Amino acid sequence: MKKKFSFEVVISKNTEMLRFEWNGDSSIVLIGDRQIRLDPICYSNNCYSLLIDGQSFDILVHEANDTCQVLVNGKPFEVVLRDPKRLRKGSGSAEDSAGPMSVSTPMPGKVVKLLVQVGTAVQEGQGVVVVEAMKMQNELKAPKSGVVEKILVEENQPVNAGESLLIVK
Amino acid sequence: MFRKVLIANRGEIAVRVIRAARELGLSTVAVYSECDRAALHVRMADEAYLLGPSPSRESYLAMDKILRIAGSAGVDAIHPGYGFLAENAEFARRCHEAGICFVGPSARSMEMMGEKIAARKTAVGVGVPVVPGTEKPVRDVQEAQAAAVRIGFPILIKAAAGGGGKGMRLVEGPQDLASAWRDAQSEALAAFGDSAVYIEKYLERPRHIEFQILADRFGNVIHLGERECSIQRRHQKVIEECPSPLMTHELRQQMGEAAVRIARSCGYENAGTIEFLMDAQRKFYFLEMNTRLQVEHPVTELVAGIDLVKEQFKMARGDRLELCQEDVRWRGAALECRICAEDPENQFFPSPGRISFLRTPAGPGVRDDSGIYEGWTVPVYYDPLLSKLITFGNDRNEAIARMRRALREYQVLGIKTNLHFLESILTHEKFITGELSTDFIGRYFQPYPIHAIQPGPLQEIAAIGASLHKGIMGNEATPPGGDPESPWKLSGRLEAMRKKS
Repeated sequence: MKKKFSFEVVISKNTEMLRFEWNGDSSIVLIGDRQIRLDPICYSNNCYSLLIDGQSFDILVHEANDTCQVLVNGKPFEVVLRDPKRLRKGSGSAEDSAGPMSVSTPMPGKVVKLLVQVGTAVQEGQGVVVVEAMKMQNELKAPKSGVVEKILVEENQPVNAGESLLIVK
Repeated sequence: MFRKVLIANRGEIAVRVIRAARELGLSTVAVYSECDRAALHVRMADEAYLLGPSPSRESYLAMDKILRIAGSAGVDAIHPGYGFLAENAEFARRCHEAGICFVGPSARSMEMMGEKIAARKTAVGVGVPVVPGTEKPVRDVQEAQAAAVRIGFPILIKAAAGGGGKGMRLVEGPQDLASAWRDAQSEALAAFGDSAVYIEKYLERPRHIEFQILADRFGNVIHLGERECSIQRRHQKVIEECPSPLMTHELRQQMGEAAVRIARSCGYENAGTIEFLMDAQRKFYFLEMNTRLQVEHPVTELVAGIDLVKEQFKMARGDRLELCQEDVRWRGAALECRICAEDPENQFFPSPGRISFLRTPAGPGVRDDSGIYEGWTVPVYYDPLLSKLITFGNDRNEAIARMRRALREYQVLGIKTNLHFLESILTHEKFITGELSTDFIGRYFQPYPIHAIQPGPLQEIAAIGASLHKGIMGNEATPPGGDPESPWKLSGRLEAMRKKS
């Protein structure tokens, strides 16, 4: 019978270890040297009611990739969890702003206009490409100052969320 | 008399119109595009027919297809909702020619008011002031430059055929004119099929106040009071209310009469809205007339106690207005929040996708005009409006408190929404004191903080919740299949509790 599990969680930039334990008749979570007694129930798929010291929290969880979208009493949070027992991947850290950076669209849509060409010098925050989604035109901005190295799309081309549109070096 | 009506729209407004039609005993016909097969309006209507591929041009804007379906389904009337073909005079005319009643004004009134430059002339003709601007469309950047200098920056470039903030750009100074010009024209062309734009002086910190009017075909025109829609983002309304916090009896009378004069001057029939801007000295200027039902019509419905969509049907079938101006009474206060599929923490980018969880608010004074349901996928092809949350109270403070309570009860997962952004506006001191202006969001909420939600105790609770979820679901910490005896199998605990009690 599994009585314990733990996760590493990033809370306001600090990584914390959350250790959950079941000690017979109640469950607790250890965060650092604090111990919190929990009374959780799962009342429907992805829906939890959590009582802590008489305080009532209604929690909804939606998993998307590594991130959980969580509503606590209606307030939205994003939580990234890591199982400490899992092998960590190599550093794979975020792109270094000294190197090339790509401009990608956060939503599916259509490229309406390219505002730059390969070789154009751009300032950080300068509009480089216009994407239309849900009837609104949105200007995507250069993530850093530099030169447009590569353009990966054409005008009128449909694009998916997360797709790289161009590279600034 | 009508028996059957086609709703040439989708989303929450199609649902709203179906509800009104059903209350009047009318049979309803929905139309839909390929990606909307499972949409709520299709499920709710008595009949539903496919228009074609998802892009609006091939579906909700395709007049031929809509008229063909209207003919074969044998409808008496077409309600256009708002957007799409609602302000398209050609469509109204073709409905008429096909012997189908268009629920809205005549094509002629629409043309008189739909073209924004002509509408300004009409207003001036009946003694209603307008914001200074060009009297003709501006043809090129040079002409725009000259006009801007004459009128004085800041200026607004606006689509002559426009509405809803599409094809509109604010220009602070000459350096931004060329790019704003380009954007406004291309957006106007995309939205309205007409790239004509004109230039208007941008009033500093104005309030947007509009009047609802209702007119029958016998020349009776009344107004149902104002809505204040000053809370806007990129010229799109976000929060609307009735009454306006600054309204007085005298001002309402004065503005209402001006609105009625404008409606009369174009021989208006059915429901319409006259929009005004108001400056700091409470001087008002005619902005434009919307010859259709407005998105924000529910706040008027609650305060004036009138179902505007049912009135639209009654006016269209030739009923006489049951009310005269003196009969109109306003009671209490109402607010509306537009709930959109967008991510406030990422420049408000649209956030289409599957709604994995949805719980909507209820209780006293709450109305949810929604076009969505749990499990539905919000398509990428149309505007991101999911629902309109409307609250009513005996006064503005009660309506605000109810809205904050209701926003907290409104829970959506799977896509990003602006719910929390709306709540933070409703908590802002200047909103509560009613000091509104159309630059409110730009002034107090831009840039909207990336981490708008303060980390703290709730962040920790969220982390605990996510861990319990992952730990229990067996994705990470428990073996595949789980352990039926596990104390962490919480639904099991729930079961045990049920047995005990």
